[in-house]
Parts: sequence; C-alpha cells; structure tokens
Amino acid sequence: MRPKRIKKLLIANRGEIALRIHRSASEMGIETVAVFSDIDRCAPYVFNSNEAYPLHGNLSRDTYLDIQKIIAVAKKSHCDAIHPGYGFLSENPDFVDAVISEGLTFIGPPSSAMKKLGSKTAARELMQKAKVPILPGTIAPVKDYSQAINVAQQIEYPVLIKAVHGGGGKGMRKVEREDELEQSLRQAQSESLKAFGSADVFIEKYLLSPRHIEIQILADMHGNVIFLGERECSIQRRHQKLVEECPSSDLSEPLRQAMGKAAVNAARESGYVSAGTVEFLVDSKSAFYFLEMNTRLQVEHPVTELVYGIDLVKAQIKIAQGEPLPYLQETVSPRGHAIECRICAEDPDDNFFPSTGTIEEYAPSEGYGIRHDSGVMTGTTVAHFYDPLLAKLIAWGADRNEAIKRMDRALSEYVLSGVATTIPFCRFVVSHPSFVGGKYDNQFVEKYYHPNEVTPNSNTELAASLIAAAVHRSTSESSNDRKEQAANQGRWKYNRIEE
Amino acid sequence: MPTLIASINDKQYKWSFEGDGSILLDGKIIQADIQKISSGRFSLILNGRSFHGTITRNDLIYGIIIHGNIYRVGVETSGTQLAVLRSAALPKKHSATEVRSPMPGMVVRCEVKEGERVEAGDGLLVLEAMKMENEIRATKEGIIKKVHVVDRQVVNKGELLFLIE
Repeated sequence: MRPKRIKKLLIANRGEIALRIHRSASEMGIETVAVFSDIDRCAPYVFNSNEAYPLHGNLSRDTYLDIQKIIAVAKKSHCDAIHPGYGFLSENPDFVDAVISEGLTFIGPPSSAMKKLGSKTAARELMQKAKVPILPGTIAPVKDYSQAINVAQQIEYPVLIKAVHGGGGKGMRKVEREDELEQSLRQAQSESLKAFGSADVFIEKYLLSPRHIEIQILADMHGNVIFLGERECSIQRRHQKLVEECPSSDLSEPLRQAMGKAAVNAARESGYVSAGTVEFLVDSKSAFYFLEMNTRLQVEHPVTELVYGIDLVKAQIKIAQGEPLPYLQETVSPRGHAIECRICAEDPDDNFFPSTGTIEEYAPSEGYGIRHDSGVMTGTTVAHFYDPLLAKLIAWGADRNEAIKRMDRALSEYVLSGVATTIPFCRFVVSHPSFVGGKYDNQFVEKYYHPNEVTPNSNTELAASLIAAAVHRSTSESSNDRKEQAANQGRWKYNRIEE
Repeated sequence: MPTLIASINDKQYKWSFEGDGSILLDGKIIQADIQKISSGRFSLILNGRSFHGTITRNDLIYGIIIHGNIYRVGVETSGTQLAVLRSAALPKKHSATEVRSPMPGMVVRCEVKEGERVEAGDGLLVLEAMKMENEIRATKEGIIKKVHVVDRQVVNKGELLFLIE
C-alpha cells in the first residue's frame, strides 16, 4: 500500500484531548482544524489550532456528536483526515463509515473491528476464539429467567448481569443470592432498554476485589501488532478511573507477558488497526479475564508514553498513513514509572458530585518529570454539558517511589479555584499506605476514602484560619469603612491584601 | 480591635490584628506575614513556615486550599452569635418536604407527576450532569404536591425540584 501523507487534520473533540492531539499533529507538520460548541469558543484548544469552526449549540448531540456537522466542516476546510479523540464519536462505527465514504482518513481502527468489539457478547465470543480468558458466564444474551438461574448456579454467586450494549455501569446489577435474581434481571433489562435501546443482557461471574489492568497495543495495516506494557487503573469510583499508573505495582513478568500476548491475540482476531486497549480484571490469585477492548486512545495513555518513550498520537497518525510500525516487540522497553491523576470538576467532599463555575485562579504544577495535559485556563467556564475532566497531571520517576513522591509534590503545588476538583482526593490516594505499598484493588475508594475522617495537618489548619481571618477582615473593612482603612493602609501587614 | 474567630471543624482560633501591624493568636503575638499574590491567592509565612493559600469560596464560610487540600473556615467577629452565623453559612438543612438538586445539571426526565404517591427510595427524576445520569430519589414517602421542573430544564445546585407532602 502506498503511504498517504496527511496534511490537514480535523480534531473531532474538545478539551485537553483536542489540544493534546493538536500538539502531536503540529509537530509532524500537519495543520489542525478545531470544532467548538458555543461555550467552548474561548477554550485553549480552539486558539491553539490552525483553523477553528463553530458547531453551534452546546448539547453534545448538537455539536461533538453531530456526524453531519463535523463532516461538513472537514469538507469545507479541505481536511484529509479526522481524529476522534476519546468519548463522543470515537467508538461509533457509523462515524467511521461516514468519514471513509467522504474519502477522508479515519485515525483509528476499521469500523468492522469496532463493530465486533462494541457488542460485549460478540467480543466475548471473539475472545473465546482467540483463546483469551473470559469470565465464566453466558456468551450469548440471556434468553429467559430459567436459563439465568441455571447459569448462576453453575458459576456460583455473586454474579453480574450486564447490558450487551452497555457502558458506564448502566444496565448492570450485582446479584448475591438466587432470590434476588429474578428482580435484578428484570431491572437490568429495562434499564438497558431505556439507556441503549436493547434489552439484551448477559451474565458473568462477579469478582470480589479484582484489579483493573489494561494492555496498550499498537497494530499497523501490515499485520504487525505489539503491546506496550500495562496500565493499572484500579483506583475507580462508579466505574470511573481516577488515578492510573504504568507499570502496575504488582504484576509478575510472566503474567505481564501472558496478558500482553492475550491482548495481541485479541487485536489480531478482530482485525484491529491503530492504538487500542484491552482491559482485563485480575483476581487475587493472579488469574486474568478479558473485560472489554477500547477501540480508541485512552484518557490515561500518557503514562504509557512516558514509560515507553512513544508518542501514541503520532503512532496513530503514522499507522493511518499506512506506515509500518517502526519498532518490534523486542525493541520496545519500559523506563521508570509514571502516574496520572485526573483533575476533574467534581467535589470529593460531596459524593464526587459535578461542580460547575468559572476558573478563577489557575497555576498548574511544573518541574522535572511533570507533564500537564490541560483543557482549561483562568476564566474558562466549566459547564454541565460535558465530561468533568479538566486536566491530567502526570508524573514520571526513575522508579515508582520517586513517581509517587513527585506526584504528591506536584499536587501540593497545583492551584485551581472557582470549581471544586479532585486534587484533595488525589493527594489522599498517593499518600495512602495501601497505594504506596502497591497492594490495592478496585475497592480502594469504598474501603479507604472517607473525607470526613481525614485528619488535617494542624500547622496548615492554623495557616488556613489566619488567611480566612485576614481576608474576612479586609473584605468587611472595604465594605464597612473605607475611610478608616485608607488611613491605616500600609500600617498593618495584612492590609497589603487590599493593595 | 475586635477579635476574629476562625473556626475549622470543632477548633477555634482567635485572631486579632493590632494597629502596629502585629497579629495575635489567642492574645499572644505570632510571627506572621501575609501577602496578596492575586485576587484569590495569598502567601503566608507563619513562624517561618511558608504557605500558599487559594480562596475558593468567599461566602461566610471560606474555602482555603493549601497544598492541594481544602480547609473550610467560618469567620466571625467576637460577640456575634457563633451558632447563628454558622447555621446561616452552612448548607441549609432543607425541610423534609422539599427536594432540592444536589448538583447542577439538566433534567433528563421527570419520573413522577403531581398528585402521585411515592415511597422513600422511589426515583423522582433523572438529572444529567457532565455525561453522568443521576437519579434523584425520594427520601420520604408522601404525595407529590408540586413539580417545579420540566424535562430538559437546566437546574442549579440547591434548586427546588419537588414538594412532597
């Protein structure tokens, strides 16, 4: 196949990932085109791109999910390729087909692979063929209650009922005992029908405290597939990842190789091309099971980039241009350790509820070994329309201990006000003995994070009380008695607050 | 000068700012130098220790972020009724008949109608915020007296959604 050089790339996404893709494209000499919703007009990714076009509206379905609008911009601006980022249209095979039918290059896998992996039952069947271990349970959707009861008895409780076309925890029910099965099955089916337009559910064994470990793979159009180690993503809440690391703190080399091989097989069996991620659950006895394959770039991809020294977005673009992978499995090797913390507009003190507002103070961390991928700046409005991810803070260290210390240092420097963020939670995680010791599973947040019980540092508490008192004093003075304040100006140290 | 009482959780710190520039903690002079860096950021050197504080909320309760952690501080002048101020500043305990939104977001669908009977735990409404759907459930049984929102309406945190009687 003749390599097709990409000259102009439309980035069909927003926020930090749109900017991150722009950076790699720009370094490759590729022009970038941004698209934006009304409230994203002044986002950093818009003014850093070479061209930018409005999508008009704010709801996802009127903007970043609108295939017609996005393709129209790509045509109008003479793009020759589209990068979907993650989320939005990135795993929609109809979008891939629409892009291809307009003669544009899609930076990602073929729609055929996406379709095979998009249905959880079809993916389980495929993995069985590829000899990738799957959790015990049904392969095809559950037919009726009597089948469900038989399967559950066979694989033993607890079991998990999952929506075939589901995601994000919807249409999912954990069943502990047989007398709960009938009702849970009904609820899962109706929830699944409402959310995904299909009542199809399947049953698999529920693992009590597994670790969530995923393998990054790269596949080109010439049949070369390699894996770039793993990412440990067990720090989760409501199936949302919050802190990730590469490599895993607790994975033996033989297990890593076995999982890597399984992931490569999974990619080959589905005819996969581009960067992709195979997610596994690993139980306490180090047995691993296929969970799902994400047919796109992952949010947490930077930890792999820092450890393997490979820019995954550039790799995706080169693969899409038809170039063969420039590395072999034997020539890629990890170096050091990386940790990512997701800085989200969520209030960890208030159930991780979303927090909206305008960013007032903003001074992200810097320094050796720190990477910061951000989509916001001072003045950015954080609205309820999209994902709460504001930025990603990534720390690299020569070893895990250095990466942890560096992350803690960087989190303590990070300034962001105006909306609540997950920074205090991230500090809690990276200083927790269970995380530092490297022995943790996906129950970490439920088990350990109780914000009301966090004991504050008394020195810092004293400092906070003084700052609050001084601010209170200066603001009440300015509103009550400006004259007296003017007379006193310069005399009191704390009065400099008003200068 | 009046003393300011700063309270964090159960602890109270009494601060006084004297005319000569000195700062007193519980009546004793303390080495403190506080400088404004920008409208919401402060540098404090307290007994030689350096702190960098950012204000998040400028209500009666101040949220002070120091080194990534947030401290919630209530401040009042000595002599005022602590309890009164604090109760005004803390999020109001909504009367049992009001259901308010715990977060900002958009109403995806309202699951109950006025006049309908609900049990505690019944779903009332699905709210979407930042990609996640959250179901707001009834905390007590009763009759839906008033529905204050319609489908696709955008609501703020604390906004009244339902009255249950």
